[in-house]
Amino acid sequence: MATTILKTDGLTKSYKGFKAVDGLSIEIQPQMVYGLLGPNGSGKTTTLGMLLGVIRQSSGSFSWFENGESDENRKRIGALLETPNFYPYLTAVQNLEITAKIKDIPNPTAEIERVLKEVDLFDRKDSKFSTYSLGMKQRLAIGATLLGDPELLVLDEPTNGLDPQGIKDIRNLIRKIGKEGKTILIASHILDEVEKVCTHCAILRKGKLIRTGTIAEIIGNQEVQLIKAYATDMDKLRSYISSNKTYTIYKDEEGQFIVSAAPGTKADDFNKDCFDNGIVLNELAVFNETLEDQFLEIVKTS
Amino acid sequence: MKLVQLEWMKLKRSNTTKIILLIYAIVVPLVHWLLSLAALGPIKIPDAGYEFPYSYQLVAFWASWLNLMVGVIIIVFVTNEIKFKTQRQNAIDGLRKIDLILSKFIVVVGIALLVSLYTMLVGLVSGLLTGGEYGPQDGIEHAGVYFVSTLGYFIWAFFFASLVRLPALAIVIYIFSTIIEAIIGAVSVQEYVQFFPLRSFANLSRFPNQIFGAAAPENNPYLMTQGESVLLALLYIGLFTAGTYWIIKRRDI
Repeated sequence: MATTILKTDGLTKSYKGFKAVDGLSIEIQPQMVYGLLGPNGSGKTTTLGMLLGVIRQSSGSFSWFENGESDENRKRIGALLETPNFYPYLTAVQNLEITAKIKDIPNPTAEIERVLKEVDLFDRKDSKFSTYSLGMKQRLAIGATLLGDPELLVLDEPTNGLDPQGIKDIRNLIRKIGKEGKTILIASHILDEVEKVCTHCAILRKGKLIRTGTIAEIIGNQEVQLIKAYATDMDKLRSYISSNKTYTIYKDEEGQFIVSAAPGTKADDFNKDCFDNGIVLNELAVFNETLEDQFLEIVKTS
Repeated sequence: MKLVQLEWMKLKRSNTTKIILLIYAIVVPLVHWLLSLAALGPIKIPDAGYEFPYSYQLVAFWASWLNLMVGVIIIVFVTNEIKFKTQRQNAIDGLRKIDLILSKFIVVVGIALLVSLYTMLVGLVSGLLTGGEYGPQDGIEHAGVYFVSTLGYFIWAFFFASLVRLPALAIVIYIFSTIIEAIIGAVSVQEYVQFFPLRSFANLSRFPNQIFGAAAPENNPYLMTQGESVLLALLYIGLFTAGTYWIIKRRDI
């Protein structure tokens, strides 16, 4: 069996009483493009910070490449955390020389040239980092993660601060790298981004893991039909729905249920099924939710 | 060795470092030479100050006034790594926390070595030019003493930079620390002042009073011998190193 890339076990970080990350347990297998999805402040960066050895966890553990928390592991990872961090008075090449040195990358000159071309910065390779635009800085940071062709990329909000073209380019690049069989861990608050580039995903809210699974499992069910239903006897409706395999209660709000059903289910199908089971519905409406709504819903209600 | 190369890659292109070291390189021999020509107020430095064995000590005394300035290199260098989050990136890329501390310690020792070797070179040239009855090997032990003195100042700077982390604030407090210590010293029992950390470093680059003749400072019964001063300074250096290590070790980067 292939080596598990990452396994975390009850990873927790507390700051004076509040938990930024609360008992996070996830597992990443080779070739996954794994999205860590959650709104701002949900603990994505703190999680990555712990995994990358710059924030000490309060409790719990993690293991890279089934090799524990050793500092050496990080040389096998190309990582970008929060912002592009470079020496402003050095050029792109000089900055990457430092990265290459730390990672013990053989043949650094050729490798630096390769990644600068990959992120389209070769023309500006001898300009100081301080003269770069925000987008170029971000591209250089992504280029730095590619140095030495690491087994795993860890990207925290990789398209942050980029213009639409830049976002598109970076996503294409990530997809391309993912197709080459590389494992990638991406943190993002943009659902669309995770959906477009990831194969698997974990949703975080207030430091807690809410859902995890393949993209299809989590947000792939976009064609799910949502039915708003209200009955005189809500308890009976609840017990009927929970005993039935076709319907699930998606949301229980203010005395009415939002029920999810298989695509194509019509309101009258649901009404008939209920009626056959002795439930009279007072109110019934079918509607669709956008993916974004679903994500917000998942994050809000859990 | 890798850490040395890494820090060199960062330092060699830093303009602050270049400018400060250049100022030091020009001012130290210039002051030494100018004061041999003109009198400093009523006091004229006797020729003995420019000859072996005292030439080393005299240059070191002038140079020590600039050590606070050289310490600024350390502060800028250390706080920049925090400000630009490059220290964080270095860790993410695979350096251990201990490497981060060690690499800055290498810089501190390296600059102290560079500065003291250069200063002693000026002393050597001064001694060779003036002649006299002693040879270059006489008084050379002062090179070691001065090295400990510079190391002390720079470790103190490293400690402050790690503690305060904000470049401007660290520089101001660092420079004022001498003044503050002097004020505390002025209101303290005089016999204890020599045990203060910065004073202990300064004591290693004292003015060579012997060049004026018999009036040696050793007449003061409370004053430590040079050997004791070096030991005390080394003790403080160890203390600040441990303090810096402790600060960085327990902090998230």
